[in-house]
Amino acid sequence: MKCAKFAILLHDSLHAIAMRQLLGHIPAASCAIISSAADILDADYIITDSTHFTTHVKQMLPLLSRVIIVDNTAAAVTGGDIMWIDSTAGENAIMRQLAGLINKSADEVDESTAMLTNRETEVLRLIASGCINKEIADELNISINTVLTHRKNITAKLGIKSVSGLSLYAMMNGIIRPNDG
Amino acid sequence: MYNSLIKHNTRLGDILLADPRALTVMARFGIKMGVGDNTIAEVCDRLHIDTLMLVTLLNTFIHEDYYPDPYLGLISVESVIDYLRKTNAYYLHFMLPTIERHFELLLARSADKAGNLTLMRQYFDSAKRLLTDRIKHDDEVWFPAVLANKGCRIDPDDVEDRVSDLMSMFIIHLKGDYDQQLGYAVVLALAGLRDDLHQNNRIRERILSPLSTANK
Repeated sequence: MKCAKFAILLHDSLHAIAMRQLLGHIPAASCAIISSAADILDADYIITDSTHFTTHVKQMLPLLSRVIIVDNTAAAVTGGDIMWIDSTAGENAIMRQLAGLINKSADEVDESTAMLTNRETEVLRLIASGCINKEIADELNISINTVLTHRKNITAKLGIKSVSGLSLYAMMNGIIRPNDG
Repeated sequence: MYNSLIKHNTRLGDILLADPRALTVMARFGIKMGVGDNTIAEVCDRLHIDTLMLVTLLNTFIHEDYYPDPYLGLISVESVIDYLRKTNAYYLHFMLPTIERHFELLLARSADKAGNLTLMRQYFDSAKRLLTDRIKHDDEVWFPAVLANKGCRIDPDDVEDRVSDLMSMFIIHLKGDYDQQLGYAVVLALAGLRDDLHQNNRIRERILSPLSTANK
């Protein structure tokens, strides 16, 4: 799972400090916490309250990733990439909800960037390991024509033509280890 | 891109404005910028360049679907080889070092915790080795064989695909924190090399290769 960047824009500075501490307990949030308003375009999540949402965030929504509003009233603007957490729910409940939202979003991102099907990933692993079409067909118990179709789809999806380029992609994405190719 | 077929009376400036990549062809003939409104024939007369040769090379370089077959017998083999030697020298002494310099800066200024940029740099090194091997083969085998009227088979390599794949790695697949501007610099330099390889491969395949085969 990738590290997430957070921008904390809360009216109450004590709440902001508490939020930093909370985020420190969530594994997915172990990366950067950026607090400057100028940096919010860089953030994966903007954690704010209703007041700051109206004054600082709302007008920039088309440019932002995900906004989490922590407040004691359900925000009317929730939906899409805007999520709401009840600030009166208590520390543990807030942390659970934050972790849930962040993990869910991270899974969604992972799914959207997974360009290959499981079968194509298997074929790619074998290509990157140096197997020829016949060996891939035997290993996966499929016909050579099916292997060729998978290869064509992999190349089209990834924009990579050469076997060496496919091996590099496989290494960069943990499909094979550097010494497997 | 210059859309019309280039002729001896085409203004050189019009071609270069429409397709500045052709400046590299000019450089290999010693033609400098500041061409004024001179036609190709006028520039060639002044610099003692074979006009038909330059027109044929430019058409092959610029137009994907141009085949110079009718003019092959009229072109000097030595001049084509001289052009390709200068092209190879441009790769060795300018394009490859430029990409390496940008890559080094990018690596120096990026966190690259996952090691992906390092892998990509190693991949570039493998593409560079293939290209330098090709150039060595040109100098030691192919060009001497053509000049000696001997046939010579050219084994295809995938240098162009590798450069293109590396661009895909940057543009589509690269993750993590790295210096965006330096990343752009690497990609643009790679694009320059890919385009030049692609365009000069046409000159290799459609001009020198047939001449080489004809000599077999």
